Order: sequence, then C-alpha cells, then structure tokens
Amino acid sequence: MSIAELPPTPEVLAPPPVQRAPREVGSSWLKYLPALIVLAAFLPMLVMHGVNLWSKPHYQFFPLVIIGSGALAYFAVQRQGRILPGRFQVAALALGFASLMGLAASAFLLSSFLAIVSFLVGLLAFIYSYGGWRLTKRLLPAWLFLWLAVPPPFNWDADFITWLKVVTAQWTSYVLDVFGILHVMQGNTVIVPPYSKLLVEEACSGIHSFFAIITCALFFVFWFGRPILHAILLLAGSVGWVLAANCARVVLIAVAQVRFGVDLAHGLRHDVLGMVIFLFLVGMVISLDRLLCFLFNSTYSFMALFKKGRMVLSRMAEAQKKKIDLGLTRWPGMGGTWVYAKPIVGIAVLLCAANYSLAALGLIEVARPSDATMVQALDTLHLDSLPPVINAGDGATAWSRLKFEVAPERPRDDKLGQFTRYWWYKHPNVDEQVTLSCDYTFYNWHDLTLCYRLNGWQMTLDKTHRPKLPNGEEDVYVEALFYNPASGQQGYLLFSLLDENGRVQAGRPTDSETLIENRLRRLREALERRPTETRFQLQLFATAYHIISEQERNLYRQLFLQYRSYLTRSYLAARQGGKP
Amino acid sequence: MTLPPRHHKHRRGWFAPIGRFFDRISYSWWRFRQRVRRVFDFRWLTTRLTLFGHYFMSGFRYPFYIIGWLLRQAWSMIAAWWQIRNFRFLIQGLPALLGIIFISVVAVYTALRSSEGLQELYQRQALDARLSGVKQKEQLCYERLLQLHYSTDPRRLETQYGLARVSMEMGNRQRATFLLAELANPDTDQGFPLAHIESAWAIWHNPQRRAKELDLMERHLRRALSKQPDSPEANSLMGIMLANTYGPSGTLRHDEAIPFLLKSKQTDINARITLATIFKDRGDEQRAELYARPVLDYLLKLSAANIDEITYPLDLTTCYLKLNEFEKAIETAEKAYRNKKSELFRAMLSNCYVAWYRWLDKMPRNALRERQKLDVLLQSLDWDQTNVEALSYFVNFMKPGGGFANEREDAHKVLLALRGNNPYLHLWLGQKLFQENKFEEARQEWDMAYKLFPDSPIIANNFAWILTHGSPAKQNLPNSGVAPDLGRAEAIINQVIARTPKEHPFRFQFHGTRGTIYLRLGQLDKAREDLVFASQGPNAVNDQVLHQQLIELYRRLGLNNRAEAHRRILEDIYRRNNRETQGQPAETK
Repeated sequence: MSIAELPPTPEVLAPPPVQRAPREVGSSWLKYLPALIVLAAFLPMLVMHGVNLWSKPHYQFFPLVIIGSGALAYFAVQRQGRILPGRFQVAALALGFASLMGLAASAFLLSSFLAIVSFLVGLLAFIYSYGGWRLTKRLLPAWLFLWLAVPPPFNWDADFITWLKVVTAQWTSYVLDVFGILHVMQGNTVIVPPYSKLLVEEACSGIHSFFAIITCALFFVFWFGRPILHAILLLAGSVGWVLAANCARVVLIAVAQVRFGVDLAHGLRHDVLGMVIFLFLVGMVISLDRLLCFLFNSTYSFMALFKKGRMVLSRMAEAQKKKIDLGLTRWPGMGGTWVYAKPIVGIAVLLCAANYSLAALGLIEVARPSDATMVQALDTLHLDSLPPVINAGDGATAWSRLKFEVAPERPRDDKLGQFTRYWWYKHPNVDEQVTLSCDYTFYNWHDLTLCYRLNGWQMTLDKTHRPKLPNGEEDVYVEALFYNPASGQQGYLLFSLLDENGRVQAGRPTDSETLIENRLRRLREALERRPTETRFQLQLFATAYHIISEQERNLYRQLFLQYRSYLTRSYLAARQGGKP
Repeated sequence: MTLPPRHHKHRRGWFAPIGRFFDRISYSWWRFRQRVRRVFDFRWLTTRLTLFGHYFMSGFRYPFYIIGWLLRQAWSMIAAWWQIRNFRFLIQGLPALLGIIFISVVAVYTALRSSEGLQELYQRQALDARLSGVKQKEQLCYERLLQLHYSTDPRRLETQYGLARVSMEMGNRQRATFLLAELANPDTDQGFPLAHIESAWAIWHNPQRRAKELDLMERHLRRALSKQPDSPEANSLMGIMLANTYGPSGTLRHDEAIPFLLKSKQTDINARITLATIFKDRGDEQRAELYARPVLDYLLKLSAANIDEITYPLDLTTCYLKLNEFEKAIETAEKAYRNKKSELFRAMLSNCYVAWYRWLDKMPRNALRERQKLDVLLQSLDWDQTNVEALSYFVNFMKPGGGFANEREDAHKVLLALRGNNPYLHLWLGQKLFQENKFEEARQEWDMAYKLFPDSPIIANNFAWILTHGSPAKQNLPNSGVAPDLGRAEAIINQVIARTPKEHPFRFQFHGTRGTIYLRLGQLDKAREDLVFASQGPNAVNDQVLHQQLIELYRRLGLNNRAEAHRRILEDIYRRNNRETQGQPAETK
C-alpha cells in the first residue's frame, strides 16, 4: 500500500451510528424544567459542600476548580458536529437513579461528601445520556477535574496535612544540618539561635500551595492532553517540588534569622516570601512539564518510526497536525436523557421538598454557623471570671490565681482557635503553675492532643473519661500524659469541648454517639432553634520535671472540673447579658 | 604407555574362576595406576585443561556477545531518539533539571554524611558559645547533640551534663536537677563522675544538711572516684567531708580522710589546709606546718604581689581561721582593711571574732575565759553590728541564770549603749521583750528600729505586726495598754509588699501579716486572699499563728468545714510540738 492509499481518519468517514430520534419536548423554558428540578434537589447539599470546603483554608481554591472545569468543558465541545444521545439510556437511567438515592442518603447522613459524589455520578450519567460516548470522552477531563473539589473521606486531608508538616520539619532539619546551622527540632517546631521558635504551621508547611499546585498541574495535563505517563510524572514531580519548596521556605527563614538577623517568619515579609515561593513553584511545574515534553513528546512517534518507517511517521504527524473540523456542534434534545424520566422527576421533587425543609431548619448548613454570640460572650471573660482561690478538694489547701492574659488574635481558621484567654494557678504542693485556657471558635471536634504531639510532645496516655452526672447526662473530658524528650518535661493535659449552650460535647468521632442518636438530637435542636455547631474548648495543661503522680493528677482533675464549672457559669451569665 | 593386561583371557578348566578373579584384580590395579599416573601426566593434564578452557570460554563469551548487541541496539535507539529531540523543550525544562540535580546532590550528601561530623561541629559550637558566654546558644547545641547521639553513646552523658550545667546557669534549676538526677543516681548505675561531684557539692553547700544527706554525698563521691580515682575535686571533697563528719564511734573520720586529702594536696589548697588542721588537732605541729606553710607562703606572696586584689587576703584569713590561729587571722584582715578600706573585711573581722568565740566556747569555763568570750563577742559586734550570728551568740551568752551575772550585767549595759543607732540591735531587743510578753517596750524598740531603717522589710513587717496587735493593759492599770493602729500597720505592710520582689524569702509572711490586718479590719475577702497565699509558704504547714488566723477567718465566713480542717492541723502541730500555742508572731517577726 502506497502512502497515498493511507486510510483517512476513521472518525471523519465512518457513518454515524444509528440512533433512535430523541424525544421532543416543548420549545418553551418548560423543556428545561425537569433538569432544573433535579439540579435544584442537589443545590442545598452542594451549597453546604461549598461552605464546608470554604471553611478549610487549603480548599479555598475550589472556585478555580469549577472555572477550570468549565473552561475545559467549553473548549472540548467546540466544533464537534452533530452530537448523538447515548445508546444505553437504561444504564444512564440506573446511574441517575443511584445518584438520587445517594443524594437522599447524604441528606439523611448530612454528608456533603456523599452528596458531591452522587452529583458527579449523576452528571456523568447525564453527559452520557445527552451526548453519548463521544461527548463523554470529550468531557471526561473536565469531569475528572471537578473531582478536585471533593476532599478525601475520613478526614484524610487532615492526616495528610500532619504528615506534610512532619516531613517538612524533618527535611528542614537535614538541610539545616547540611548548611551547618544550629537548630533543635521539637515536633514540627524548629528552634534556632537565639532560641526563636519557628513553627512549621499550615502556611509554612505549604499545605495551601500543595493543593493549588496539584490543581495547576492537573489543569496542564488536561488542557494539553498529556499522555498518562507524562501526567503521572508531572503530578509526582509537583508533589516533590512542593515538599522541596516548603523545606526551602523554612530554611530561608532560619538562615535569615541566624545569619542576618532578619525576621522572615512574620508580617509582610513572610507573606511576600510565600507569594514568591508560590510563583516559583508554578514556574518549576511548567518547567518540569517542558522537561517531560523533551523526554517523551516524540517517544510514541519514535516507536511508530520503528514500526512503520520514517516516511510513514511524517505522514501521520502531518495528519495529526490537521485539526479535524466536524462543523458546528449540533446538540440533541434533552428529552431522551434520564432526568426527563417521570419517576426521576417525581423523586427529585420529593428530594427538593425534603432538602429545602432541612435547609430551612438549619440542619443543612447553607452558611457557616455564626459564632458572634458565643465570641461576644467569651470575649467578656476577664481576670475575675474565675475566683482568686479555688479549693483543691482536700479541704485545707487551695489553688491561688496568679495572673490572666489574653493571647493575640490568630487567623480565623487557626488550629489553636482564633481567640485564647489564659489563667494561671498555683498550688503549694505542686512545683509548677498550671495553665487554664479557653480557646474558641471551633466548628467540629478538635483533638488537642494532636496539637501537642506536633509540638514535640510524645503522648504516653490518652483516655476519655465519661462520668455520669447526677441529672443522668454524660460528662466527657479527655486526659492525656506527655513527655517532651528535648526538655525532659512531663506534661499533663485535660480538655473538654463545649457547645454554644455550654454543654459538654461528646468525645472524638470514633467514640461519639450513634448515628441515629446524633441525627435525632440535631433534629430536635433544630426544631427548638438551638444551633450547636460552634464550640469552645477548655483545657488545663501542667508540666513537671518528674513523673506526675496520681495524687497530683487528682489535684489537677479537681481544679479542671471546678474551672470548667466556674467558666461555664461566667460564660452563660455573659451570654444572658449579665456580668461574667 | 603401558598396555592394559588381558583381563578377558579365555580361561578353561576347574581353576578358571580363580584365574578370572586374579585377572580382574590385575585389571583394576592397572586402571588405578593409569588414573593416578594421569594426574601427574602434565601433557594429558594440559590437554584436558585446554579443552575445558575452550568449552568454558565459548559459553562465557556468548552472553557478552548478546549484551554487546543489546547495547548497540540501545545506543542506536538513543542516538535516533536524541536526533529527533526538540531542544527548545530542554531549554525550557532547564530550571527543573537543575532543581532535580540540586535536590539529588543534597539528598545523596545527607544520606552519606555521618553524624560524627555533625556532632563534632555542634560540640565545637557549644565550646565557642561557652567561651563567649552565649548561654542560650550553648543550650541549643547540647539539645541538638542529645538528639544526634545514640542512646548508648558514651558521649551522651557528657552532653547531658553540659546541658544540666548550662540550665543551672540560666536559672532553670528544675530541669538541671532532673538531668543531674538522671546522671548521678548512686543507687542505679555508675553515672557521670562530674555529675556525682556536682551533686556532692550541692549537698555540701547546704548548711542544713543532715547525716542522711552526708551519707548520700559520700556515695556520690565513691561513684565518681570509682570512675576517676585520681580526680582532685572528688578526692579533695571526699577528704574534707570525711574530716568534718563523725564516724560510728563518734569520732571524726580523720584516718579515712587523710588518703583522699593526700591525693589532692598538690592541686587543692583546701585539701592541704584540712590536712594541716587534722595534724594540728592530733598535736603533730611539724606535719601541720609542713602542709600549711606552702599554702600560707603562697597566699602571702600572692597578697604581696597583688595589692589591689582582695581575694588573697580573704583566703589567707580563712586559712588562719581553719588553723585556729585567730590572732594572725585578725591581724591579716585588719591589715587588709587598713589598706583597702573594704566593708568586706569588716564583716570578715567580725566573723573571725565569732570563730574565736566558738573555739573559746568549747574550752572549760572559768571567769577569765567568760570575760574573754564577752570581749570577743563585743569586738565582733563592734566590727559589724549586723552580724546575725554574733547577735545570736550574744543573746545566748546573755541569758540570765548561772554564774558570771555581773559580767552579763555589764555587757547588757554595753549593748544598750551600742544599740543607739543600730536597727538590728533594736530589732533583737524588741524580739526579746516580745518573748517576755513586754509588748509595750517591744513596740518601742521596734518603732525605733523602723525609724532607723524603714527600708528593711523584716523590721517593717515586725513593726506592722505589733501595731496590729497593740498591747494588752497591765493588771491594775486599766489605761496602760496600747490600742492597735491598724491603719498605720496596713500602710506599712502594703509598702513592704509593694517594694519587695516576689522571690523574697519572707514574702509569704508579709502576706500573712497583711491578711491578719485585714482580718482585724473585717475585710474578709481580702484577708482570705492574703492568708491563703501565706498558707502556701514553705513552712506554713507548721505555722500555728497562721492556722489560728485561718480558723478565725473561716469561722467568720461561715465555712466551718474548712475551719475544722485547720483546727485539726493546729492540733496536730500542738501534738508534735507538745506545747501550747502562744500569741507570738510568725517566725520572721
């Protein structure tokens, strides 16, 4: 066969598959009504998902994901000629039905994760149903790109953040050793002379830039249609760049501090450094993409060269360069898609009613719960909100208040809470003073032991106490013992999480109330108009240079329980407008 | 080549089997000989080896042929690949390539670098920081070294000791104690010798050490000496400790001390002086002179050579005191005082007289010696009127009863004359009068003391205390008592609390006084705050007066349970002390 006899591209000449004609629906806006109803059923849960994502600083880039996905989809469907509906409409219908069932389950479980997954599955079913396999293939990158707005389940992103901090801190230590810069690692804290603590926080660990860079790399991959090996290497390389850049950031801060006495860890300089490093990272990702192009771009042609010879190859390359223009995209009617099936519309109407009712009750949170009342009340707490002397429980000795302090305000999403108020107490039989603090605001369970572990404390005991109260309710507080290998100190922590109404919250998600109990409680509270999603944390932390004895622990426990009681009373009084 | 024997001969007859048997044997023997011979047949051997070599090499080189072919193919593929590369991409990807190379180099360097070099680096930095006095950096160096050392690294102990030392120097006493306790536990392991010596020093410098602690000190030093038997510090301290402690027989352990002191006599002045003291006690003046003389000469020379230096005369005086040569000690100190006019020597002179008094006190009593003791004490007070030790000896010496009453009366007159402008004498007299329940006179004395030295927190505290209580009316004299002046007392004690630092050792007592004032004024909340604070003081558990105040406070507040708890504590104290409580002020007052 000569070169001239090469077969043309099959897509151009192959006759279109025989399809049944799509069902016609009315020409007015009513023809979009079923699709809108289905979309409306998803809307409250999608908004809730957006609110949840926005509450995580490392996911605040998600609007860009939607825009990017839209851009990918728009350019993917240009000049595609006539689009025909999918052949297996029953399969699409089944998938769509499953998607609506997923939505119902997500509304019952109040799980925005399940809702977004159901929505994406339904969307894929719709794409196939509407435009067949060809449209699905064209829109697959855009659809896959949308998955970036789905956080991993089981809070894996939090675990990942923790891991990233630890890795960044470890690598920083290695690099500082290479440069011969004196430093001491305490968890994810780097201490450099003259005893400055550089905490590898979310900002420094680059968790924000990590997700943004991965999104950026994935957009490159989809936009330029990179092959799979190229894509995998680019994504892996981007992860590597982010880790290296985070490490470089902390090293730069430490070097500037030690060698030049310049503080790059705070203020405008820190922000500028972060921005410069982010731009540098984007540049490095693009550069890596080019490098991979250099390595792989013609490798596939190269293999073809071996198979077919150089002349054949050049012909194929020319053919590939020519854009296949199938003419203006002509869309089929939507009447044949699964969203127009009557049972589906019926279910969607029911789900609409249920979801909007739940949203009206406040169970589906279409806005972040306001903490204004709680913060206003807690901000009024002062030195005398706790008594100057607290009985130690033995009748003879007492804890004496030493001082009170308000910590500088932190960012809204700081893991330690935005606000903190401290009281210090001292007991004659205890060497060191103990710190009592009230941290707020938190929006779900906050595991304080993790914060201490990240600061270099090794946990040796972690126990959740659940004593029964006289009124039959259950009290919950967590007790933890720590050891700090760097300073040789023992640490003792007690903490509880209280809701806006001053009620002690259940422990960690693993040992929380059962699912049904939780939903019923929340429904009851919603009907009583008592939103309880905002929380504040009360903690006691004591240190010692000896093993903390059971007797001392009893003293601390007594103090903590009394402290919690006093503070809750002061808080509730302040909330009702009285003096705390 | 020998031919093989005919082993297949056709044998016939009845003896044929026997013949075949021997034929077989001869053939086997021939085969055996042939094989043995072949081993030594060089030609056959080389032929076989050559053949074997050929076979081997043929098999061996084929894989290389294949590898070579594969490499050629690969190279041609790479060459072809390289020819169709787009170098624009390479230029654009150059930053990424350089980044990858840099990260790889750093990673390989980190992986291959041993921690020894790092440890050496930080050790050196720690030393530099120590020499330049940058303690925080030194602390960081040791903390980093502790992270780098393996758990069984012998250098870990030294690093930990360094960290303990610098923590102590930076004021983090608790951490230092914790680290030293790990390093110097005489019951568990050998530990680190310097840490043992440090712990021993800490015990030795504690003026309230008991026999149990001295026993612990000895164990620490024995641990240190088991690792460093020639350590001058350990030997010297051990010798000094033994020379000053009593053995089971009730005598000083001089015999045990001498070997340790002899080991350290070359480097340690104190060891030589202690040796001289021991021999002087034994009456061996010659040997005492032998050990003391070089030290005294050395210090005399140093004193003469460094006229402006005050430590050498002080050391010399101390040496004379240890040798009980009080006149020489006083002469040296007086001379130094005349030359340098330092107040330090006044205190030293006062202490010399006190030491002399102690020595005289051990002697049998007679009138002449009592007079001499009084003279010595007065001399001591003459040099330093605030010498608490001299004052307390004076108080004891002046106690009524016994002989020498006339002398004491004279001395009392001298004391009254002396007290004119000495606030401490007024304080002492006030205390004495207070104990004799002469409240009005005590108040006058303390008033005088307060006027003379209003900045002394202890004097002010005592004055505020007596102002709080006033003095009861004497019998038959209804208007003779003095009413409490709570307003003035409050003003004085508030001033004391405002001026004294929080670390002041009597801070708790000051709050106790103020709490009492508030209690008298009826300001119960304030009183509770102060008294509870006072109850956290180190010796508050045994303070009867404080517990009485707390009982009264809690009763007035209606907290009977707490009042009852304090009452039980008070009863316990009474039981322990086996005496009734009295309306006496707290310990400092």
